[in-house]
Amino acid sequence: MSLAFQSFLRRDCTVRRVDDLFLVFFRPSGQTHMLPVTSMALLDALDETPLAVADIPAALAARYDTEAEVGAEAVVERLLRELEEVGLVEQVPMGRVPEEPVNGGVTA
Amino acid sequence: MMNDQKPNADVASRRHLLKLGAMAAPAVITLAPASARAAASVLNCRVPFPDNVDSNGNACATPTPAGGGGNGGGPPPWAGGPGGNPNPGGGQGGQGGSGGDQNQPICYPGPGADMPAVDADALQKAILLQDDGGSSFDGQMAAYQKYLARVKSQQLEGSSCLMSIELAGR
Repeated sequence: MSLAFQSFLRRDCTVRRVDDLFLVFFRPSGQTHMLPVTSMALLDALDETPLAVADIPAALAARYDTEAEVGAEAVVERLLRELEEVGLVEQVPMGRVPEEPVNGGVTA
Repeated sequence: MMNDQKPNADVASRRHLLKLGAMAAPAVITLAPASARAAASVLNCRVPFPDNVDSNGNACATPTPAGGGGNGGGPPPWAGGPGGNPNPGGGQGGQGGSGGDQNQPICYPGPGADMPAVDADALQKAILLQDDGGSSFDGQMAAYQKYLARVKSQQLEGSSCLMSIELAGR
């Protein structure tokens, strides 16, 4: 089972822009954070949309009409860990493998 | 949120995302009062805030009571006038609760410290920060913005953290 990340940006956050930075008030913790554009784009892309880390660079590239950079996955993972530490993203299981039937699919 | 400012946000995002692979700055900066005792994460840098910040971006003593305080229908205190110079000492005397003086800056609570969400103090601060579409929330965020401008211009504690995250975006 692979892990994915998602945010609840619209549900849990109030956002105000300050030049090229974003003030984000996170209601569950009562903390206010400041995010650069890249982190904000990540939160926006993951808003109630779980994505595996490996898929995020391509998703961002498609969303913003750029090309995914080589090595971007490692950067994305670091960003996600920092955002997870303050609660702005959370890990979710993805692709839960269905259990195999005991009798090869035959039911009583 | 991003969609509310879609054209500018998208263009800026695209420009910054082109440099995703070279990004070395913190992903997030937590605004916390200087009195916060929680250990800072090695991954996140902090910009310490005063316990309360007024609408001129200075530290103030006591938050103005919600719904009252220094703006009885006239222009906002920060719109201009003789009282706008920041105080390097971080305060402009008692700003709390003087509802009758329209020239006094409004004193807002600072960003919450690392307190559990169930803590009564944190809940109170969260309520004060709740975006009710009115001027109080925007005023509070504007006060934080002015304080951050002071941090940068006067190189107060947290200025290197602030500049590192800004430089990475250029």
